[in-house]
Amino acid sequence: MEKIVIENLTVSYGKFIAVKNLNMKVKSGEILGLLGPNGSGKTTTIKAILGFVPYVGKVLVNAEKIGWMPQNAPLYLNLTVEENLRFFAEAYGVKNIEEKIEDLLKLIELQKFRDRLVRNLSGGMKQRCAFACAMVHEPDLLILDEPTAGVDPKLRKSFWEYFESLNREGKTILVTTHYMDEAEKCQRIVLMRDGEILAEGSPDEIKKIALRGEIVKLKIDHAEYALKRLREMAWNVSIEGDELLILVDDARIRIPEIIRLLNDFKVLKIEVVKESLENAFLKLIGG
Amino acid sequence: MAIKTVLVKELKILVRDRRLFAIIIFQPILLTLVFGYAFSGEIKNVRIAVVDDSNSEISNALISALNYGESFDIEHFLATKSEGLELIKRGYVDAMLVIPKSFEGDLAKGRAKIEVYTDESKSSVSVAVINEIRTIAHSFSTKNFGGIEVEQNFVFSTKTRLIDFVAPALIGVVTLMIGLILSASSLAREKEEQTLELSLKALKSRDIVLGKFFAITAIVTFDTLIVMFLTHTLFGIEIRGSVLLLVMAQFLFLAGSIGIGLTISAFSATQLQGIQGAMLVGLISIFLSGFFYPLESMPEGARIVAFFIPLTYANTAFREIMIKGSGIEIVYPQLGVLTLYTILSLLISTKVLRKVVGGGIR
Repeated sequence: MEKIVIENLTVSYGKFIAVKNLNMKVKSGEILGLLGPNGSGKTTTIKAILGFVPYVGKVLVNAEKIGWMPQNAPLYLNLTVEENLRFFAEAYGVKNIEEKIEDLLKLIELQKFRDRLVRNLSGGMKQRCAFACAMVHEPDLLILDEPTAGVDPKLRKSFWEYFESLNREGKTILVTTHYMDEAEKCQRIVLMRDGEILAEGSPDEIKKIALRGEIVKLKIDHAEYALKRLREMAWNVSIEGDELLILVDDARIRIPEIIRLLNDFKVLKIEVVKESLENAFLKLIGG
Repeated sequence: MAIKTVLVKELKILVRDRRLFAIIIFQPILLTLVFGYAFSGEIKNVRIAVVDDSNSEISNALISALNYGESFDIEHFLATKSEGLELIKRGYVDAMLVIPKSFEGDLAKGRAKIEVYTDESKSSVSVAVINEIRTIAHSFSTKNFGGIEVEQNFVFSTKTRLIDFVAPALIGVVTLMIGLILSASSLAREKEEQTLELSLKALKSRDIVLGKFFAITAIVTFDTLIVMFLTHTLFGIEIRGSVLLLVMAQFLFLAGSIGIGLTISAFSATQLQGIQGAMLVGLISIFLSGFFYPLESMPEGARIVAFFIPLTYANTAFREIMIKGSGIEIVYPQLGVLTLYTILSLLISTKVLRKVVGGGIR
């Protein structure tokens, strides 16, 4: 069951094509991270999902209620935290408004600042308030556009704790971010560049795609001989000091194979190189 | 419910925005004071005409008593009442005093009577004249051991004071300026602060626009009351005609102006741009509408331009209803034009706004 199905989506602003023939799905109950450099079409895709930009193609949303937290946390600056919450609660026709407001103020830990004008809030507080406004009608699908931009590490952590606990409750989350540690927490990632999808999959799958495989690091005696033997057998190997770096399609299958081939060598250490998502991301974007 | 939510939010925001709040409060007050005092004469040296049928020593004494202070300038001694009425109607004098033949004898018996005629449209002058004459007559009769009754009569003239001309137009100007500024800035502010799409997700665009409309109507009504209160207390302006008709005319004009304001906001990226656009349209309207001078005394070219400015019709309607007490049988052409204006401007604004707010899903 998909919450969002996007088929052949194209969005253009005049001559500029922001999103090109995009195909994407958001599965029910997952956290999907939409990644990509600035201007890659993430926000435009979200606006198309919400119906705020004219587009060509098909966008299907199977959610009853959508909670949307736009970029830069737009709020009514001359209303207080509580008044903002109340406005959106009333606008969405929420039933038990008072209770809901209390719950949310508690969740975002802004009870003390409930009567402060949003104009006078710090960036992090504003971000929290915007998140609460998006949650006010208990949406089953959350669309969060850079919810943690400009937020300190501690608050980023607690934001993701909210997201993950909401996800455990069964809520589907579509989130964009530039932070790779956040992307690692997504069950699936869609990586965009210039309005197109570059790669798609779990964080580990993205890394594999980026490297076109995995790298096995081998610490071995007489590394030069081992290198020669592996090269003769057409393995993709390079040497760094006394360590061999072997590019393989699937480490789990290839490691036993390597050990068998080099059974007359003394293997000191063998491990799969942990590629960071950031490197993978840069490789994909740059390539 | 949804409309009320938007209405309450709008009012809070407008009142908390210092720039806008200053405009809301001070614009009507300043406009009224500046134009009111610029166009109103002082109640000093009131020009009066006298018809002295008694022609006695005692009546002469009364006349000199009147002439003694600074209040009155006796400009004409006339033989007949009708001559004086004509002078008032033409605006050459402000009041006429008629002393009857029997004045001398009646005074001794303590039932003397004098008649005062004033221009009924100059209510503040009328009140001052009658009070002044009563005071003088009272001290005069005490001195001469008699009693004088002062009978007040009104003359309905076609000439009116400038303030009578300007005061109703102030309502038009305030309605236009405040209506334009608030509507143009309100939507532009939501675009600037990026809250428009957010509330469009929660609300129907119709409810958002209506909520804003009623909030602006509430504030313009408040400002109109300020203008009315000031022109009444300071310049004695009263509403002679039907209040309902006046409210109707104003509502039509306001709705049209809000439509124009919303159209301006559709083309403005920021609140400031919206306000500037509204100011520009508002000021041009005021200068070309014949706010300062009656249409009849405008040069041909300017008069033609004025025919295309809705404010012209609003001001004419307000003047007719407020000052002359005209009914719908007189002001229907103006109301007709204003209705057309409202329909057109709302149609245009809906069309333009649809592009801005698009078709957001609920």
